[in-house]
Amino acid sequence: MNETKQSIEEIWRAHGRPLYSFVLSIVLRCEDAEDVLQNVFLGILKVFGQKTAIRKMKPYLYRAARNEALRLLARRQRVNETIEPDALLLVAAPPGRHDEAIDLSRALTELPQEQREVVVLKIYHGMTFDEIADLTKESLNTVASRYRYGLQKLRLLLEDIKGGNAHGAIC
Amino acid sequence: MEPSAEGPDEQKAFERYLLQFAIAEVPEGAGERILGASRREMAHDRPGWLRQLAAGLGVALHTAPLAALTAFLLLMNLAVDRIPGGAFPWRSNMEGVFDAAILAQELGVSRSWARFSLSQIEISSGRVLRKDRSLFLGVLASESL
Repeated sequence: MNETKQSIEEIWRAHGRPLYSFVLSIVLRCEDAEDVLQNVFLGILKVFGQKTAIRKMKPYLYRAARNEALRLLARRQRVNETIEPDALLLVAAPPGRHDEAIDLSRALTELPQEQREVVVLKIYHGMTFDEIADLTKESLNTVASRYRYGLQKLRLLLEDIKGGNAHGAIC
Repeated sequence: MEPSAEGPDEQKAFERYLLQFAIAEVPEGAGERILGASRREMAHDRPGWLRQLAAGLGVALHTAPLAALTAFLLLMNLAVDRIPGGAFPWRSNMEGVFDAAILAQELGVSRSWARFSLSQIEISSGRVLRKDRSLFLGVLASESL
């Protein structure tokens, strides 16, 4: 399917929420996630303007979003910008389990970025290890190992968080 | 901290637990903000004149480096002073609007120079709130070259 015929709104409707969630899990700040996605959609508009076909929209979007998000992380490093990692919700909870979602979000933010990325993509975006390896340009073994270590660490972090401090804010 | 050893059953159970949650919600209005800002920025994109200005700067630096650099730095300084509160863009809310025409008039340089200088500030600022950046670009685009 030639997806260049899709309108930008259709692309947003189809991919906006997962993309936002993915970017947020990298940049860990809502306004930054919006900034990143603005650049991604600006890129799509430019591609449309050049009448260039985007053959596979989903991989294109994830790659563009990831590149933009990592660029933003690099800029943060350059200016020594720090962020408040607690102040966001990386997952949506079933009814009545809001506090658990906050705990899980906090645990996810405390994972190393490479592990968090693989866990989030595998669990919440339904990607295969092959797809994640393709997106991150890492070997399958690396991806699988990051996933396994990420899950183990996430579990420990969750246990720590549940056994300890309360916390709050959401964007 | 090194994770403890964990069997496949425990991992599966933990995966099932994680799957009870869903991906994050998108904040209300985020789609409109993102698409609207992308459209505005696209509409105001001027790659042609930006390329010309960049080429112009290159020529100026080659032929009259001191004058070109002096003008450029003056513009940069004045432009930074124009940011409300005198702060750099990444620290500022940028509630005001840059005015390249005034900048150009005060320094006796062309509007192109002023715009180019402002764009450099924007690029080098690292991070500018998007809605304000779009406003900024909109103002620049609304002025005829």
